[in-house]
Amino acid sequence: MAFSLDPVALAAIADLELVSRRIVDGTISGLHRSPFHGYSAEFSQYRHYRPGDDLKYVDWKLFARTDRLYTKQFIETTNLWCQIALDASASMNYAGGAGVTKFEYARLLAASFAHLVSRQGDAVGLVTYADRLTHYLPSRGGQAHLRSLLLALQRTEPGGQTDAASALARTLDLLKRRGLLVLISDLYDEDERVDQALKQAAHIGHEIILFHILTREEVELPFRDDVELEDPETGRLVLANGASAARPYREAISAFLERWRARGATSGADYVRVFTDTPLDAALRAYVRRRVLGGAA
Amino acid sequence: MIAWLTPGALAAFALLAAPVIVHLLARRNARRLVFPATAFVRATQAAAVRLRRPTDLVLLSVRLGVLALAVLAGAHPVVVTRWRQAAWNARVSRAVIIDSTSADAGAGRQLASQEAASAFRSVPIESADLADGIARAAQWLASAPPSRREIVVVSSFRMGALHPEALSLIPPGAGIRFLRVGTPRAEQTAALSPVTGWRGRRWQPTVTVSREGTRTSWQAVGGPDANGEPAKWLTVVSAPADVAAGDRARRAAVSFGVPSGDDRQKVVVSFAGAADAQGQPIHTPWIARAAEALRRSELLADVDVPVTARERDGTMIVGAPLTASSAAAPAVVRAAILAVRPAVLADQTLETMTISDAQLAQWRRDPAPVSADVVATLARGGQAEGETASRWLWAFALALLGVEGWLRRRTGRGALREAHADAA
Repeated sequence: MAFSLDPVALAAIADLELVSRRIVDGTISGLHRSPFHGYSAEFSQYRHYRPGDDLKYVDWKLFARTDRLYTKQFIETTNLWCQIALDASASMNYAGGAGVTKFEYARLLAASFAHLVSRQGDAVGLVTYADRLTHYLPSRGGQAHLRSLLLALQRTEPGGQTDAASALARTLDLLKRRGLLVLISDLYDEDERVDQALKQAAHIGHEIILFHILTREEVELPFRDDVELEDPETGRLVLANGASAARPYREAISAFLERWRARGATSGADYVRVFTDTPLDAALRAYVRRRVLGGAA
Repeated sequence: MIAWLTPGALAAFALLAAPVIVHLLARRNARRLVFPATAFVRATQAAAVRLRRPTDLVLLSVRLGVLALAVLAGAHPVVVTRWRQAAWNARVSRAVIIDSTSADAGAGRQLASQEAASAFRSVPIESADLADGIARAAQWLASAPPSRREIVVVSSFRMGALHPEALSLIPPGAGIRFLRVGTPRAEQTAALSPVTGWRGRRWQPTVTVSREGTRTSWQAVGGPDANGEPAKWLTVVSAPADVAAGDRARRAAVSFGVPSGDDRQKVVVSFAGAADAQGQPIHTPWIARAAEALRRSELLADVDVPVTARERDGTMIVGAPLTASSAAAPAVVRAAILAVRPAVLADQTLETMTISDAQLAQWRRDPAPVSADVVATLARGGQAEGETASRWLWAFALALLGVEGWLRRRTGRGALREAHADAA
């Protein structure tokens, strides 16, 4: 059963573990296989094939000999190392008309993702950053670690300028093995060094997912009157007439979004644009389904 | 053509500056919003220029329209169209003057009511003096609504009842017609005020006017005053040496007869050398009237004696610079008597001759059509109050006010959305 959870309502619930579990329950219901895969698995035993089993685990040689379908079973080991990098800069503390800030939405997304990865027995870690790393939890499995991660997320508050390039470089230093790097950010820190850091991560062999968190207001610039816009990170003031500035703004923001989509494509990253007025479970479910059905990674 | 009943109200067009100023000021109060994608917002010169231009031109236009319509409505415009002008020309405002001294005033009133019935607006004016009636009619016509204007005079038109000077009081464009009622009798008789003193008796004069002429008959109606001294209200004072002469002059003047009058109006004629001839400037009406009559006295002009008139304690003091023994002294006293009690007055109602029909036809004038200029004049005088387009302008202004409210609410909702975004 698929139904949507209102991001505003979810953000109002203090228990991040409960909320993220609820989201993950909704996300993986009906899925027969994991959306994320490790690099090795140890064979355990055969069992009779049951409808719904993945055909790639059917032992066809045994079928040829016995004329019966058997599915190979493996000992489940922690084989995926996932690191979530969450942008906690001041620009993420913007809600627009959705009622929930980008940071609150991103925090829920990070918690849900951690829950999802942890549930399939893999290791998950967390990095939060603004102009420097504010939290670092290395990738580990287990419920105790997940709770620590969720607690760290709970305590994180947005503020300060973004230095994504330094944060990513530092995160790559800290990652001890190849794995899944999940970057959740509004991506306003757009410079060459971020590009290089992403390419370096891809070169090392990390799988990258970019969750681009946006509000509708950031795409549409819905102001009609004269407004004095203040950049929350730099404090820069721009005086503009909403009606006349809207068109060039939309062109500029479209180009910005297209650049990020292209970067994702060239670096092999999975680029996912998420608006904060989209129900979180629906957004996550759509992404996971796309990943499973599309056979990504 | 548009005429304005209250053109001064157009000065309120200066109020149109108010919404412009409000919009300009509102423009400068740009709201400050935190916005993370500020880097993509272009702060162009055009935006800065727009900041000095009014906000929301549609709303501003509607507000200006509401104010302009209100000002126009307040100025009470009268739109003069050809159709409306024709409608005004089809009606007549008529002042009907009824001569109350006519031989058959009743028939005159009946005729006047018939004239009034066929008019758009009418007023009956009853007067014994036709010149006064015309002046009052002209005054009423000046406040009549846009229409052709006419004065109708209903009278027997005795000779002297109407003069060309009276006709000059008729407003330009107004017409005048004359309706004759009744015919004066061939002979008129009237009793005038009694005269006392002539030949030591009291006399009743009677005047008879006919086509042939005027005659006066006198009839003794009583003896002299009880104390044998008629005109006790008249005193003559002179130098002590001339007291007897002064008394003679008085008796001589009274002997011509003294018309009846108010004995409380006392007169002192003071000749040169009199001890008590002081007085103050005149302020009592009857003394002022008598002084004016004295100034125009033909009797004094004949003897060429300049006299002065003053008053003291309500008594008229007539000062003459000659002694009571002078030959002109009786003339001075007689002039004073006639000034206070004028001689027999001619009563025009006794007139038996009438103004000819040819003369009346010559004086007749048809009412002019209502021209745009006349309407403008009437409008300035406020007579076209019921013809103004004000109510339509007010209705239009109210409708625009509704549009303004709707636009304001719509703008408010937009601002609220932005405010929510800002607050978030």
